[in-house]
Amino acid sequence: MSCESDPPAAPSGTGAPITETFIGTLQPSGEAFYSFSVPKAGTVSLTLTAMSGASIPADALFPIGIGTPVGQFCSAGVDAAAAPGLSPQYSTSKAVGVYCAKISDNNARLGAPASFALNITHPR
Amino acid sequence: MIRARTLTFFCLLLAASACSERTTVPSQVTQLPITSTASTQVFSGTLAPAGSQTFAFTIGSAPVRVSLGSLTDANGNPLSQSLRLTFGVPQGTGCGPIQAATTRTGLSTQLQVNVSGGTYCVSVEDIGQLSATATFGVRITLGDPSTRGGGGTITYAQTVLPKGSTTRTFEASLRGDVTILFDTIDPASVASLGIAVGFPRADGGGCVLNLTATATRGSQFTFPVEAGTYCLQVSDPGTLTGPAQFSLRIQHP
Repeated sequence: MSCESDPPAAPSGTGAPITETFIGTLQPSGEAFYSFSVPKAGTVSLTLTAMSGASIPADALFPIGIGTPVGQFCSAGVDAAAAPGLSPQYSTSKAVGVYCAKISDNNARLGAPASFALNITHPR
Repeated sequence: MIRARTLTFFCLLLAASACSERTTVPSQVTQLPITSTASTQVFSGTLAPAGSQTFAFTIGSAPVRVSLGSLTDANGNPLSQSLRLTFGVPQGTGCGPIQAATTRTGLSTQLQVNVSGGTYCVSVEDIGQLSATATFGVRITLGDPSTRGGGGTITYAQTVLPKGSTTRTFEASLRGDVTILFDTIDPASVASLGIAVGFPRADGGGCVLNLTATATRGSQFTFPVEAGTYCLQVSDPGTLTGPAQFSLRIQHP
């Protein structure tokens, strides 16, 4: 897995939402995750905004979820199955803490590595 | 700093081996019991050139001590390269630093941080010195490794078979120096045995070995450690044609 990410903006502590964009490559049957801090309780949402690659079925949905970093993994399960779009595919309330957002191809829909962009919006 | 009276040595090695004592010759133990309020996690894996690996964990308010315990090549040979060792908070695909150091391997603490409860991480990163994928082991000690106890001397006598090894654990109740005194090797035709020191894996799956050397009769090795549990392995250096018996003493803080 190779992943890139936009650096997050400096937290201001106001609780106003901030969006971090997780850009990476999802391998067939693989998964990728991105860790982020929630300094103030509030709503966290995930928006899979883009998925591009040589072999992506038109009806493919990709599991996304929020968990906590544990060891070398992210504990997230499947909170939603997402197709790329502009509206959040999953939103939930979270307390202050460190979390991770995970995307996977656990349905083995990809025939080749695919690039994705996942927006993570949370209080700052 | 590692001190060796008779040898200048001590590189790095990672190997998995049974960590329980397999004693056929009784060992004399003069070690005092210790009380530990710490827990230890071992973060191990492979690191590609220019790569990094991150390990996350959740803890209460406690001191955290981190040691890069081992770094070896694909054949288990010790490497002397330095890695960037970071303690921080999981951020993005890595570990946002709170404290970091560029370090070679060792059994003493390389990072120490007092933190409030929360989720933290440790990462290792190649700083351009690795030429091939390496295997690493990092010990993360949460809490105070020891609150009381005392030093002591363990006598360890055992037999090593050709291509074999034997391992036992010992405790250091305080930060300080451990000295290994290699007293005897029998038969006389055996000139030396291999020794290695490391720490047990948290899952009980053997030892992450760090310091390695070739021990001859009368040789002595001294190295610094933190309070905690360690493994000592004695092995065939590749020259044994039959069983070899040895006796050594472990003086620990």
